Amino acid sequence: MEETVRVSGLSKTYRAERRRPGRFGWLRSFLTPEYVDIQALEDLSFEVLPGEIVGLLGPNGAGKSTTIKILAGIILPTGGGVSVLGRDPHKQRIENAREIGAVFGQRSHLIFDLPPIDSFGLLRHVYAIGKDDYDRQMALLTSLLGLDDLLLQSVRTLSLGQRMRCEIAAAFLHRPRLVYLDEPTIGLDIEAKHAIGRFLTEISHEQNTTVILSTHDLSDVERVCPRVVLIDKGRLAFDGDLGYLLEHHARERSIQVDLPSSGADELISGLRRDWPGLRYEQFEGRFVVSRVPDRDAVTEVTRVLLSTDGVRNLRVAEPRLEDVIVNAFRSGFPDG
Amino acid sequence: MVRALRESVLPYVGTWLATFRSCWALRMEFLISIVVAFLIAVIMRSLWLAIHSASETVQTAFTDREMVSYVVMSQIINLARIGHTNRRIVYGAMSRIARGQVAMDLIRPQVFQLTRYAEWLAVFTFDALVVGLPLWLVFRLVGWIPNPASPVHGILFIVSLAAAWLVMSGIHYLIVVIAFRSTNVFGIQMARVALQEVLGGSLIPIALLPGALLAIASVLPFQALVFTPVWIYLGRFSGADLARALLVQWGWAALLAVAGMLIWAYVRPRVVVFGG
Repeated sequence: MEETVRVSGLSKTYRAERRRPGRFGWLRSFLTPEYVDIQALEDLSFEVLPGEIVGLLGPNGAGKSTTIKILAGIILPTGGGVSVLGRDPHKQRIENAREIGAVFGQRSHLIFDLPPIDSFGLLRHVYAIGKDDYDRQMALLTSLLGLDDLLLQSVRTLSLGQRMRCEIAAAFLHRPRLVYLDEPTIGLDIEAKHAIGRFLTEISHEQNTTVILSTHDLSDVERVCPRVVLIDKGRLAFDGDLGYLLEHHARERSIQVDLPSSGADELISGLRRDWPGLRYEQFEGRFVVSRVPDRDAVTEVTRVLLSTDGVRNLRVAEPRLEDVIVNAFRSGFPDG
Repeated sequence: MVRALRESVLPYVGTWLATFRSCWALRMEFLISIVVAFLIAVIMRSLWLAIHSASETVQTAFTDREMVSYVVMSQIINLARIGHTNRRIVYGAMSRIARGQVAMDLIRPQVFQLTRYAEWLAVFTFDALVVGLPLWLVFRLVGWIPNPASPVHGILFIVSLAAAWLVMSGIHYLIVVIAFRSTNVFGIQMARVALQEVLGGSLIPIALLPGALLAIASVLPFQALVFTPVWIYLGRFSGADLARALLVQWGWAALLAVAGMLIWAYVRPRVVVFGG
């Protein structure tokens, strides 16, 4: 199967002006500006197959947005190559743009002073969508994203979540084969995030759309991306199955439990003696969150807790993906 | 063939339509534009009448009626009108570049230059319909301006106005593409407004400029913006002079469009959009 996206040995260096240090640094910088090269991407390679939903992850400044901007044909790489649907996205920007959609969380498809329906009308012209195709896709997007009440309301009066649903509809309006989502859920509440996650899964399944999702919100990735590409300092750190990542970098589990009012301290001391790496926090004297360092130890600690009188409401929590990523970056990616 | 044509033309029709609609969403802007343009026309008329009565040079060049007609017409078609139009066009585009919103333009299957021209044509259409035309009717009714010198002059005035718009858009586009390299082009924009007011004929009729300034004005594109269309409207150009004036206008329109294209081709690989 021919890949939708191929990134090979990609690098990008930005040139940025740097203020000279010292009391008169501002004057020296004015007279003779000094520039530094910032390496945003370095020898990055990965591929994405048709219909895949891939999470692009990494800490701030890792190069996620730069990668997406290069793939979208907005900026030119310094080295290496990219191919999107068999094209060079920068040289063939217009042809490429016809087949891609994008949401950049900080930028907008929508015309601020008009209702979203007018922006969709503009996009209908921009992508030369026939009336029947437009009506059909609008009906689908309206139903999946719940846009009914928003279409005729001025964009300036929409909430962030409502606006983002419209932005996502705008990106999918012309039935693109590939969609880039850069921080699409920034600032949204949990309900809105769930709605967008459901939408992505459904639309990708229904129209075989390839989606590359870059986000800081790792719960988004857990919801919709079976595969993740992790970037660190512009380099590929991990590319593979999300489950694999969790398996190898999610050793810690949390056990949340209400401890008995008497004997709690002795119980915890006993547990810490047997499992020295165990950490715990106590809230209001009774609710304990314990961090168990070893997956195998979870069963044993749980058994001990359950056999203690007065222990209630025991729950084993899966590790948060944020912690997994931090752990993976800290310990490196020998398995990636 | 039909599909290719549809894909080539529709994006710009859509851009024109959307921008034109968004102009109507700002009622206060529209009212302020009319009031400001009206007041400036009235003030300029009074000012130039006073100058006319005190200056033999001006009296030699114009009758008082011609003077008033020129001044009022030049304000009606002033494409560099300070206010709504100017803000929407140049500051709007500059702000898109500074905020990185231009990324959204570059992911659409549209030529950047044609998209800007389509947007600006919508703003110009709005300005002509809601400011220019009502002012023309009012001042025509009160007798401050005459009809075009002849039906042919009327038609050629429209042709000249179209060229003036293209020249103006060409200048705006140059400023916008320069903004990609130097995000703050406020100074260039201010210089453009000043040059345009003096050398374009909206503040002072070019015919009244002293020799050296007149020579400079005649080799710059600004004269094509206000002076040429008004001069045609008033019938002061005819025969070979008229043909030459139109040729110069359309020549500048083409030259600036090509310059914009070349500078964009240079700037495009160097475009940087920071931030997520």
